[in-house]
Amino acid sequence: MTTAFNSQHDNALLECNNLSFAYQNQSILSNISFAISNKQFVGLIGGNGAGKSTLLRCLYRYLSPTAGDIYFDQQLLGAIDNRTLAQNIAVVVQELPNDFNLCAFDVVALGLVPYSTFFSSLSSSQHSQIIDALHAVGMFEKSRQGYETLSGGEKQRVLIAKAIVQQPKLLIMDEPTSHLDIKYQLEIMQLTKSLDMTVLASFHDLNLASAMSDRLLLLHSGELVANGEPAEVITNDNIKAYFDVEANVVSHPTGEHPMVIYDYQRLAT
Amino acid sequence: MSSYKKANPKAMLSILLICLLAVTSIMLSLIIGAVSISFNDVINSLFLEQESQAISQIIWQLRLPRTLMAFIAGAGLALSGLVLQTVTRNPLADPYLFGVSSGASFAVVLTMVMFNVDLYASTYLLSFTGLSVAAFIGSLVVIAILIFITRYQANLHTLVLAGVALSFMFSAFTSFLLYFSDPQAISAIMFWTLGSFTRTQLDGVLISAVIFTVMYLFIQSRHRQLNAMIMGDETALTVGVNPNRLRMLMLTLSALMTAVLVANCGGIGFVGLIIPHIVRYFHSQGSAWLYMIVALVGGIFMLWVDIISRLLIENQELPIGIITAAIGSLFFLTLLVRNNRHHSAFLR
Repeated sequence: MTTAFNSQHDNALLECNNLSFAYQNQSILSNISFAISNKQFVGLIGGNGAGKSTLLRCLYRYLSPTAGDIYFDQQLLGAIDNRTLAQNIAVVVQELPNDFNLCAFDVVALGLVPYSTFFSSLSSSQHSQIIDALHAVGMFEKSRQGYETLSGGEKQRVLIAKAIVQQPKLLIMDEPTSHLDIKYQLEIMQLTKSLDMTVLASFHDLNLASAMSDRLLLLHSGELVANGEPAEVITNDNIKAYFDVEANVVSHPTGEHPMVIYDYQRLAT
Repeated sequence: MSSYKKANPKAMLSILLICLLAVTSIMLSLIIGAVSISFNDVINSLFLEQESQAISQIIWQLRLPRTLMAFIAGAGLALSGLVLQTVTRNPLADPYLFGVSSGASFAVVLTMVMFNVDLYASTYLLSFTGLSVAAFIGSLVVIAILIFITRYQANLHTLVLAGVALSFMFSAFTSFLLYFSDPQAISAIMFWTLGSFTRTQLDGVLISAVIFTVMYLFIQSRHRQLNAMIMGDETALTVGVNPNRLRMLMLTLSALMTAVLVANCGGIGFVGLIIPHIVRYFHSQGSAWLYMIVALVGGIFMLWVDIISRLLIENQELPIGIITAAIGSLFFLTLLVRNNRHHSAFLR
């Protein structure tokens, strides 16, 4: 592939070079460059409207960037066909319409659509793949329940089961823990970590992001302002400059990762 | 594992029951009518020797084409409705709501008025083919306008509202044409627009059956991709489906099916709306059998509407469209009331 020569990082699974995105002449993302290597868990953080979802949408090709290149596995992202891309990148999106209420089993089965051929219905091995994934996320008992009737945490678990059967190299998650109780947040995160996949996930909760990620990307007003290990990104200065709050970053008592203690009495001055 | 193996026989059983019901309904549709024909005579005419020429003719030239046409029309409209509901994620989608039928009707009426096409002419095949082509062009024009309007704003609500607006617009055009036509043509066209299977001939049945089969096979081959569309374009994309292309393909197929049916039996509304909703009460949306069951139930429903249209008033036949619209609007209101009572019921 000739496109491979443009890639700067030889062992990067995903690479962004000077990515920009504008909507109606308004810049949303500008000049974003980073690379993700295999089996890394990368957290994407930033305030509301920083461009987290837009960046992720460019990466799973729901949006096309206005400038810049994205490489997946040394290939230009735009040159990969839909099916192949779906076999390599699975996505857990934030909100899903489901007016006709597919059951949990059927939602998980969607993960096998990239592997389906004309007229094929589920083979028995695909059946057991789905059942295994439902067991893995602890949703087997509710597999015939309508997806809409499930709780927030259960919905996320079903979507992760869908990602499991999709067998991707990269899993992209857009705020997988929003609206969840702390128990389910941890449950979903532990489940994700146990998959042994390369993960790129956006977070609202800085402490959760810090605890889970090998590396963090910090977006602010569409620009990538920090990229590194949690300790390099979660700093007093960064929190103050990009989240507009006063905070004190300490080391978490049980781990290596930094932890943010907010000053609830005042905003950044 | 085992609980999923059990799900299949259940689906097979319901399909078997529905097939039995379909065969019974077809038999009854051949038996019931202005002239009552016995079961034995029907069997003899169809498969064995029939002594009475008159009975054989009634069966082969009147009852059989009409029965098959009613079945295909019901199946085709129900399937079109289901696939439109799926790709637009709108529980109220139906070929009529989207203006597809109105576009087809307008094109047919325009052709009739311009070329003085006689609905009961001996050159049936020619006029039927001509009207089908006109209807298809009419429905494609509607689809093209819909695509154009939603091109820069791929919003599903826009699609539905634009469809409703187009439906009214083309109905107005049709009324305008009728206003300037001579009274005799008007009454013939009015009867046609209300829907009827009386003038059906075997050629028309054959063409409709071919189009139906093509549409059905296409939908069945893509049923897993269609499931992905239910969870949104974004989800569809991330499992390798091109949502816009699949949606346009399905819109075009249902336009073709609707067009042929409009040319053949006029305007029959609400079937595409009612049947998928009824089937969803006892069969899950995600199932691979859903499309077949919806088609079969649609066919059975239409057979019974046709039988009722023959029985309701003695020595006279009610237009089909009147009956389906009456049942359909009641059904529609029931859905709305249920929806108000407990919000999620509408969207089950």
